[in-house]
Amino acid sequence: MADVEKLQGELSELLLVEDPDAGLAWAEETLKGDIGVTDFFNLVFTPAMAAVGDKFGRMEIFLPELMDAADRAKRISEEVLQPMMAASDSDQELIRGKIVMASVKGDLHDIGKNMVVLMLRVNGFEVFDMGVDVAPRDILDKAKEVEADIVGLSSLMTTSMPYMKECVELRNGFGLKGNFSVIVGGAPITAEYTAEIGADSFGKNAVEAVERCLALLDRPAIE
Amino acid sequence: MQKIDRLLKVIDKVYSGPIVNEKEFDHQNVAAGVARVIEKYQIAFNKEQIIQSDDKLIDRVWEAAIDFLVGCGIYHTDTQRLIKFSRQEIKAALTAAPSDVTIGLGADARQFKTRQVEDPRPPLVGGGPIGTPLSEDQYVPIMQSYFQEPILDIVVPGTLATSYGRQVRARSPLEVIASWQEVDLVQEAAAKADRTGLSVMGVEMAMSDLGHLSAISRGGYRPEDTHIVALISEMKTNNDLLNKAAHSLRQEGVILGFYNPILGGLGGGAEGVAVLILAGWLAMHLIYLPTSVESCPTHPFLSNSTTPDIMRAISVVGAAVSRNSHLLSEFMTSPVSGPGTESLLFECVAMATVVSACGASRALGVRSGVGVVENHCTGLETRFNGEVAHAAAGLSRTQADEIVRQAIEQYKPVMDQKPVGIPFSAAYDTEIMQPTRAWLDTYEQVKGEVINWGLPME
Ligand code: B12
Repeated sequence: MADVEKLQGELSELLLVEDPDAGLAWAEETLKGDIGVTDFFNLVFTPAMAAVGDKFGRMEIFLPELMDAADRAKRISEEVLQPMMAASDSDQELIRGKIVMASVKGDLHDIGKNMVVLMLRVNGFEVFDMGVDVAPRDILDKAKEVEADIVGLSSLMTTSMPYMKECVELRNGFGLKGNFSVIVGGAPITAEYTAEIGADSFGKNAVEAVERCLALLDRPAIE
Repeated sequence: MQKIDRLLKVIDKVYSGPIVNEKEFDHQNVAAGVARVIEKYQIAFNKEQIIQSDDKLIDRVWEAAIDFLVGCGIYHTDTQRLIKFSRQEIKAALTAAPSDVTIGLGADARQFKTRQVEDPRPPLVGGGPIGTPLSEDQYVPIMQSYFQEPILDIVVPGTLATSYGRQVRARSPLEVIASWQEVDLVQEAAAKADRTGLSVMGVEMAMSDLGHLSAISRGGYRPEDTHIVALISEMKTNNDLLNKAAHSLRQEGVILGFYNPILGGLGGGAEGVAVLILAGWLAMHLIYLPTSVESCPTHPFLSNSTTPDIMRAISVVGAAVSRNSHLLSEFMTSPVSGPGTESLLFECVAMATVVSACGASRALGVRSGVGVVENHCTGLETRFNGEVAHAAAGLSRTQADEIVRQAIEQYKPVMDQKPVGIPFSAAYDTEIMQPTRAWLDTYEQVKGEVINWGLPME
């Protein structure tokens, strides 16, 4: 059996080097060896991405590197792993869940939300980022359209927080409570407020956002 | 050129500039643009110090920022177009910017002037809750606790947690009503402290252009007050913000442009933050024609401005502006700690010393508890921040750096715990509108300590 820990370390480094194709070539090469694509995905690829995310959490790398790593990982997934999975008839899901993210109406603050989006992406979620100042109805429509598992809402101001409540109310009002969970975040958001508006989860920062989304989907945390 | 002509030229660019995808702007223009100039101008800060004192490096950062701005432009999110400016246009805007203006009225009027690095003349002092949400019943007393501080040359209000008992929603009639309520309550507090002429920086409740356009008019904020217009991080604007600028220019108001780049964001580390602040300030001088500019660079996980990396960037930006232009500049103390804590005061010592010694025109503070914990702010910390800024004026950067590093040692261990302290009602005796004995004792004790470090506070 291949040394998955060593492979993990190699991949997480390659995702951060200058050459954007280095990881891609390495993945193709590695998969010619004795590791199967499912094991590669679960034991190498996903933890390697999580390690890149952790580096950002410790501020050893910054947003531009994280953005590049997310792009590269996406290419490895789409150009190498997905075709192999399809060929091997594996029923393994390559994405850990679909998430619609938005900064709610009235709110232009998006830096934190963008960080959360990237951290979710590097951790294997498919994220539909709707941008800033998004009306509750539009968020709901998008969630229905893409069959989201989770809707993530970001608010940085007391004056946009009410629109989070509106989103939850609309979801429940349309009878979609069983369809997707709502997770909220942003500097003024607390666990109490989350409970008060009936949202399902809350994350203090981008690292916690990933943990909470995994918990919402009942997925194990990445080792 | 008349201001209106300049603004019209900006608006022309808004509707004719090249169309660019926003993600591409973030990646190519901003992230890659910053990385490019950091390499080209060989910008690396000295980690041994907080206050950077290598003037060659500081001047290179200034050059890098201009180079970056020419390449990057400013993104207009409504039209998805790029507003670009040449070096000549940047030079002209720098020349046209004021270096000495009067803010406020009557006995409360103040001269707002450019300063030099290590300038013995103290900076102006700004303060207030600075957007912190305040409950309606506490709004006037909290604001009064600031207006009554003689050291304040300008006041920055809090936001209203609710308006007439209702949760305020941005871009709704409630934004208009709440913006007017801010004006009413601020005027009431100013009258109680007998400082109705003091310049007030608003509209804090103007989440969109609605609040700004209504509350800066007859009976509302005056031209002598200070009208806020932000640049969206990183390097973006929109019509809401240009509407604010257009309105305030017509009102002949004192306009303040503010821009808060995020550490670890598109610009990367401290060096990138410094480039972005300078470029953003120049960008605002090109598109909003402000009187002065301000920044509160923000930590991505702690939301404060008092981390070592951020203060390194501030020390460079303050000095770069003073050495290369006559722009009026300002930085904000935004600590993790709140009222009643020692750490809050040490965070003020660090930031206000950096700001004052590096030539900023005004020291603004204190956005206690990073401005998000309801009613957690008091006039006393602003007095302290101002006193530090006054005392640090005239220190050499080397002396100042010693003090800053000692202060950081005091609060660094508790930063992650976010000690937000106690609310105003527990920190002040509201009958007599004075800090409680306990809060005052903490203030006196920290003051004594930093005097021993060599900061000449009175
Ligand atoms: C940067 C900033 C701006 C920038 C925003 C640029 C941008 N592209 O986002 C600009 C200058 C444009 C701006 C404008 C304004 N701002 Co502002 N801004 C800030 C500031 C300083 C930092 C926010 C930030 O980006 N932090 C860094 C990021 C990385 O942190 P974060 O957003 O908190 O995100 C982290 C977590 O919260 C979490 N998270 C975030 N979203 C989500 C979502 C989910 C699902 C999860 C799980 C987690 C999660 O993970 C993130 C990463 O760790 C805050 C102060 C503060 N203490 O937060 C004020 C602040 C939010 N702003 C405020 C105000 C008042 C305004 C203005 C109205 C000012 C004015 N009068 O013009 C305007 C309004 C604009 C609008 N309509 O939205 C107030 C709000 C007060 C209130 N009543 O709630 C604050 C608190 C400051 C203050 N006290 O005045 N602002």
